[in-house]
Amino acid sequence: MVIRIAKKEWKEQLREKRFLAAGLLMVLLFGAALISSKAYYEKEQDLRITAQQGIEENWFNQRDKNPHGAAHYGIYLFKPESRLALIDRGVNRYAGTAFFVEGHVRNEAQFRKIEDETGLVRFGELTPAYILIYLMPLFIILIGFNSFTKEREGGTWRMLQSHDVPLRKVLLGKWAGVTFTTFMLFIPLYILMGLIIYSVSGFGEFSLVHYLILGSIYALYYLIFINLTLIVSWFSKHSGAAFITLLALWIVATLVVPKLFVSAAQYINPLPDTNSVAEMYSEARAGGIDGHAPSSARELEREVMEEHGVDSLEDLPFNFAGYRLQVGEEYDTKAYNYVFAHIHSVISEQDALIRKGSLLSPFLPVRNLSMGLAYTDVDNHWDFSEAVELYRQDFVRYLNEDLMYSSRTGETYLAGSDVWAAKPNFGYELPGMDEVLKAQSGNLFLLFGWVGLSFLGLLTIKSKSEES
Amino acid sequence: MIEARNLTKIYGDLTAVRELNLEIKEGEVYCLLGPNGAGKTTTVNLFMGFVAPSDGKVFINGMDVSQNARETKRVLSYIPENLALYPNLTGLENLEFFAGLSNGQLADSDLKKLLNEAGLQQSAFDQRVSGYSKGMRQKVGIAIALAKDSKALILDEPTSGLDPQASNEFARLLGILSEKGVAILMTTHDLFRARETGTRIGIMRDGVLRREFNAGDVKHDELEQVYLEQVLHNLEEA
Repeated sequence: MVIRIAKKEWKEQLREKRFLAAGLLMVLLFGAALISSKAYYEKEQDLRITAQQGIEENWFNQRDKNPHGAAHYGIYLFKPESRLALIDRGVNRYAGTAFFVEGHVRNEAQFRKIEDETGLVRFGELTPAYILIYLMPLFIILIGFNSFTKEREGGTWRMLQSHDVPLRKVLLGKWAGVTFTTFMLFIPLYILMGLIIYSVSGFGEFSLVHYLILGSIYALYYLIFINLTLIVSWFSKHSGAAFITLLALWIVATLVVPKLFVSAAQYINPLPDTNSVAEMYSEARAGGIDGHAPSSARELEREVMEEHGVDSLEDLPFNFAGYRLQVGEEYDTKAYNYVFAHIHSVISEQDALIRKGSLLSPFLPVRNLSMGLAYTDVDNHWDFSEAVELYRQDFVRYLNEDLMYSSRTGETYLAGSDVWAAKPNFGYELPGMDEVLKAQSGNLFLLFGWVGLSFLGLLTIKSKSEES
Repeated sequence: MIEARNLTKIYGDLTAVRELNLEIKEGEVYCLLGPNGAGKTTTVNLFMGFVAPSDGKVFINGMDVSQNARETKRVLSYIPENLALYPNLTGLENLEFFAGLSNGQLADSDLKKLLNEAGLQQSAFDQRVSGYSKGMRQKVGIAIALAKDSKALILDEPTSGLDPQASNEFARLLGILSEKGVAILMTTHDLFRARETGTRIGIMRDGVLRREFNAGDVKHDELEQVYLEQVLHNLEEA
């Protein structure tokens, strides 16, 4: 009986112009989003490869110079992209994907795409994730808002009641009908997207398990909206009221709650502005040795000479200028660590508050999971930023130590291609699936909570009928 | 068999049906007449189990509706004034769906046979119901009742709005069901149809069954006279 009702629902939906129009629109939008995302990432990847090659060429072919000068010359490091970033660009275009690595300074990421785009992008960019997270729930609402109200308005509810049909089975049939229609659209689109992502070149390996986990998260999200749609349809007197209620819930879940909590988080725990960061850095740096200013290192000179039992810096077995630069660098690092730890703690506090919004909207945990699995969330950006900083410290230390040990104090030393060629290599691999899932366990828990809650909501439909 | 014992339904201050006692035997067509607000539709809703009685009991095929709601629905069919079908499905698909709810899957040929028996034109079988006239929809309703192999059929003003030809056709179909032993309760305003179709007639007013007689015992003029007496009485009281 359940299958019979589900088949009837499905047949009705397929013959509804509303469903066909909405389905076609979704397919077209999804196709456009997929094509534009693919083109965007392929172009990005080409640019990245070209830029990386150019940067390395410049580095290896730079003229002979003081190695610390080479530390100022610097290099660029690019954040690696997962194939799944093609689905969800996350914070990449806001946070940037390239880091300039140089002596003394911990730079933030550069090349933020958002800076080159018009304000219209604020209304949401057309990506597969945008279609899957924002628009797919609207499609579900559109096909299911009148599941029960149309039966009452059309009089067929009485016809169903006049047969030996328990409400539980009607509900299951309707649930199966809406679910089938939803997944009939979602699954082919998701498979098509998988094939396209699989075919994209220049990225890491395609992990089917990873892709299926992301798909399962979207699927669970749709179940919440399917259940919610049926609950609202059951409790609404008219189709219009059901549609308006569901539309309002969609707006609250996908727009109001996220914006509200992000604004509240920014208001309660604001990130320091550029001037404040500079001030914090200066305060943390105060009293430390400036590697470029010998006058700031007189005490250090005395200590080092005493330690090595010499009377002048020239008698040291290494170039004191290199040592001073490295000590100064370590002061810089300490100051930056302090500043960035503060920024990180503010971001963590903001995140904690925004996560509370997940109790009011299933959109937030799904949005976070989608970005997390695509390696385009803030955590991933931060993880890469930390790896870059550790590399920067190694990179600058290597050059300072080359100055230190390849010359004596007072000598003029110019490093050459052999030094440039032997610089430390930067190795960064995206975290494994288990690490990502562990980091996202809170969001997973909230998502499962929402799914459970929505199924409990369906049970209230059963209770209501039993009362009547 | 359809039976009501001291059936009463009260909505707030209004007694919609008061101590109704009624028994419709196998093959009997009982036509319940009455002006608007007489309590006919409430009576139908009570028999169908759509509303619970305030007092008294309803029995379908010997089973208490309040105790055996699901079992009674297996032997009971219902055709309301405006039979509601799914407009995006064809007549055949609607029949397949509703018949399937009671009997499981029926063969396509059986379904077509039922629609034929109900008098629906063959060319309409595969047309969407959104394009059907009221008479065509009522025929699908009859086909559903036939498919269900019901012991009892309840019709709420089924001929209202039908043209004379469609009404005649409908009456013929009820005759077929009656011959099959189905107990039929039909509410109507149509005195002529009640006398032609019914085996027994009841007149209801203010929730009370005022008069009851065999259709064969009255001529059409007499029925009209009796009915008007009831209605006029009602108006005088108002």
